Amino acid sequence: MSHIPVIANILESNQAVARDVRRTLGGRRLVLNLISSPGAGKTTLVERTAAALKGELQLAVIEGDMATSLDAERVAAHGVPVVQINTGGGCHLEARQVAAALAQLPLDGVDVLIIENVGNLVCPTSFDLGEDAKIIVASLAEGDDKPLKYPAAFIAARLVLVNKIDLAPYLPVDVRKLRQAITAINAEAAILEVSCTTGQGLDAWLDWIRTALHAKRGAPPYSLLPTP
Amino acid sequence: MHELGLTQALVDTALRHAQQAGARKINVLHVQVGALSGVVADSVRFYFDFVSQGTLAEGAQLCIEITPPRVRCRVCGAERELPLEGGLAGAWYEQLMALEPCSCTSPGDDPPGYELCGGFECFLGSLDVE
Repeated sequence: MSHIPVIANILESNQAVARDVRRTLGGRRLVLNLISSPGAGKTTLVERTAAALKGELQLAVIEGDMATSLDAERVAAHGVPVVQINTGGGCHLEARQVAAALAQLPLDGVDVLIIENVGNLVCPTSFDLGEDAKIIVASLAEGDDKPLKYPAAFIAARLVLVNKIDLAPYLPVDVRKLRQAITAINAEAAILEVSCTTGQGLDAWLDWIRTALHAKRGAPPYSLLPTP
Repeated sequence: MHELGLTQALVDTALRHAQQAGARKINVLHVQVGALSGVVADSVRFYFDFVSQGTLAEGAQLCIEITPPRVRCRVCGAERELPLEGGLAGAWYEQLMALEPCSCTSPGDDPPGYELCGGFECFLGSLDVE
């Protein structure tokens, strides 16, 4: 009998496909993976973003849902190329589904690809989809304790959007406590308070996208890096 | 959560490495699962027998080690583990809040606090094969 050291991430086959997705999308497109509970406002955020960036940045969207193409129809109404993935019973998107969806998207001229994951704060966090950043949408109506209950989601996030901030006066939720809980888990995550209903805070979100896209494009291509 | 798919991925990974090593049979899979990873070890065990049927891993022992949440001092970067209670991390936040300040804190200073830095991993560490 012999012992083989492996030390492999159990999800390495998913990560291999995610690397292919990154290669396909290249260094000029920003790829965002939106994760939240059901009903936190991901699709409304995508709609608002599509409307606001029209004529400035070309968006493409991949919609993940267990069933229906309702979300894709909402997004398509804004003139954005969109592919709906129905996972059947699947509680999250995997890289191979994104790879298949890319084949159906016109990628020429696309600046920002938004992948809207299945509404779920547990499973989607484990699966790399080839994104540049995971973004958590945490709506105020969910309460201020979700980061503590679902830490794996929040530790993976580059940005947390606290949505439905316009409801703050009507809800027994402590925004300060919510921010503290996010920071306890992930001190590096940016936090933006937004309302996709009133538009409050969305300028800061659009600026975050512009900055992230600029940062990605600003990095010199590997071929230009000095060789050691 | 998605333990069936995860167990399938675990078995696939193990089979690939065992085949590369020319093994005829896998006896033990040593797996490390972070207490905050969201992976339910009992569910992985439940699916393992089913998923491994007819493969080199059939009948193998699944040895799952739960690794505790780890935190890092925000100033000096020193890491430490939080205790596991019954193999679960259900009280991680209370434990984090109750931690004494890091030894880099001078008396009278505001303690800088800690941030989570581990406990989310899910690794196949090694295989015993023949």
